Amino acid sequence: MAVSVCEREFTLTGVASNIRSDGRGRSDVRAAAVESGGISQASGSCRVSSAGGTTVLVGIKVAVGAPAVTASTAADADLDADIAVDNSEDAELSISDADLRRGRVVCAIDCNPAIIPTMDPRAVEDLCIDFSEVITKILNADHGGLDLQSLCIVPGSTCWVIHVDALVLGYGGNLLDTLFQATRGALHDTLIPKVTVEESTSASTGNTSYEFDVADDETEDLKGCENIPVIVTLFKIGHHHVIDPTPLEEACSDVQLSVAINRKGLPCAIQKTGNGSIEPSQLAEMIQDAKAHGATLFKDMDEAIERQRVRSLNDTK
Amino acid sequence: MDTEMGEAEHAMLHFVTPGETVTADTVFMRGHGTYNDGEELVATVAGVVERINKLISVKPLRARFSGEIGDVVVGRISEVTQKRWRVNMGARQDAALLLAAVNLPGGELRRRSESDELQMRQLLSEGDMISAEIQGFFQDGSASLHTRSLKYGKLRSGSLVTVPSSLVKRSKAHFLHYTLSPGLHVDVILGMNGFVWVSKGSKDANKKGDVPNSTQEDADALYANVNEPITNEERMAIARVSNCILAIAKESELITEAFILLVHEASLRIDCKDIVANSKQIIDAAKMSY
Repeated sequence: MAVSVCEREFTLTGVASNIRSDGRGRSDVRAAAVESGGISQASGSCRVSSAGGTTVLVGIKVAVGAPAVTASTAADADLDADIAVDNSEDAELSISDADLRRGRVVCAIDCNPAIIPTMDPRAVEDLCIDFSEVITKILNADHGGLDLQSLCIVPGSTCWVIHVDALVLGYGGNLLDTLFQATRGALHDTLIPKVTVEESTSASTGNTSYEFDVADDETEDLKGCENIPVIVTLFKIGHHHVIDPTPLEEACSDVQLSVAINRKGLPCAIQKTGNGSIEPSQLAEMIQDAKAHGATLFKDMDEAIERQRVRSLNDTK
Repeated sequence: MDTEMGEAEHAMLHFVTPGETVTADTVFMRGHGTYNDGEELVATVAGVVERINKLISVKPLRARFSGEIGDVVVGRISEVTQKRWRVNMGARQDAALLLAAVNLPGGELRRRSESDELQMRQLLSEGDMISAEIQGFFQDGSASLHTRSLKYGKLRSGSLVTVPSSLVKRSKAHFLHYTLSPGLHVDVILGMNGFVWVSKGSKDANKKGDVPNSTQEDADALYANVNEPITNEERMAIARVSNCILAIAKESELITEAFILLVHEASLRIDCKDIVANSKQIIDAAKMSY
């Protein structure tokens, strides 16, 4: 967005004197409402709407698929497919084989460019791709919290693929943090069908074949949801940094640092975006602030999710 | 206008959604927001049915700004083109500000030359905020603006808040000056298009008015890109007034000179950043003090 020289100067001096244009201090955030389970057709869903106007809706779809895109043994996603796996290979598992023994997460973000009028439509598209990359990367990694091993159905050929589909409904700044918060909420809400796997070894060839059955009515929670980190993005404006910026503040920021904080309060992933630079001393300060804010975000999210759980329990009664 | 009937109807507002039949009676005339489908009059927008004698129109609940000649607007320069600036003011199309419709530094009687055309970006460039008045409309419906008075021009030392344009009431004064406490001034430019510029107030309230004999310095200062020095107290006051305006908009009340002041007074016991979250409570308190 093109910002006038005066507005930029006003924002910069405002951030420097710890009074932002909406009266907040540098580390004050706007309240956000978390509402999960809104989409009954989805395996899990969550809507997060910030008081600043950013509204995000995330739907989760779990499907049976192949473990990793690169897996040579990519099998059909047929529900009752019989797949034979050579027993001898199981003995020596290499690191790449670990990928074959777990499920995966795929994230896609959709945003109508008209929702972000301050940005070029092409840039909005790029932003969505960038953000979906970040979310996919974090959730598929070991520090992503999810117990991906539990999503494995038949090692090497079949697993649960969790599709995270996010829709941006409103924009008031701080999109990535809100998107990840909604993703977290939706994964908490997700139920996957129970699977029973039958193993049989044919006497003649010595090969093991698997047969699995997806239950229609029995479901279970996704394991490890509570360990998914939170993302805190710090926007450097002038010599200081802020969290939860308004669109104008985002436009005045040269460089952003997204830090994923895990439940222990430690940073587990860091990404820098933008063309500006960060001094080493400020980097340490930024990560420190991210840790502090991450802890409060965890607390708020836990409370919100607990409230949703109690409400849905009451609804089913 | 049949006012008696109008008031009776006010008691039971008739809401319609697009495609809904407003009336099947053929005696009525088709107004804005409706179309004829055979015998029936059908709404094209979601809103309230308004009837003036035989003319039926639907007033949309949410609409783009479409101004009138003489409206004070606040906008952002989106493009600099041949002999004109394009101004985004939240209307269906960008408005045009012609080079011939601005005051150039160097006095009103100066002749415009080709070099002025080449230096347009020195006066106003992309992203700059301006206040202006709607001078007229082009054939395609886009507005033509002018800033040919010293009260219009580039905006500085403040921030923009955006509200639905329907909440800004057309009134005599759109350039508002508040003295919140002795020595603490805040200026508000209430654009009819819903863009509101809240800035550090000039000490002399009359300065914002029309100055018939403009001096060279005044005209030069018109396009300067420098903010006035702002103290923390003033900055907080600007933020508070901005948040009060947003709170009024959140409660869908009309934004007027007097009401902003009342809401500001009611907001004083609440932390500045929590004003919008507690809008209902503040607006109710402000209404009580009427």
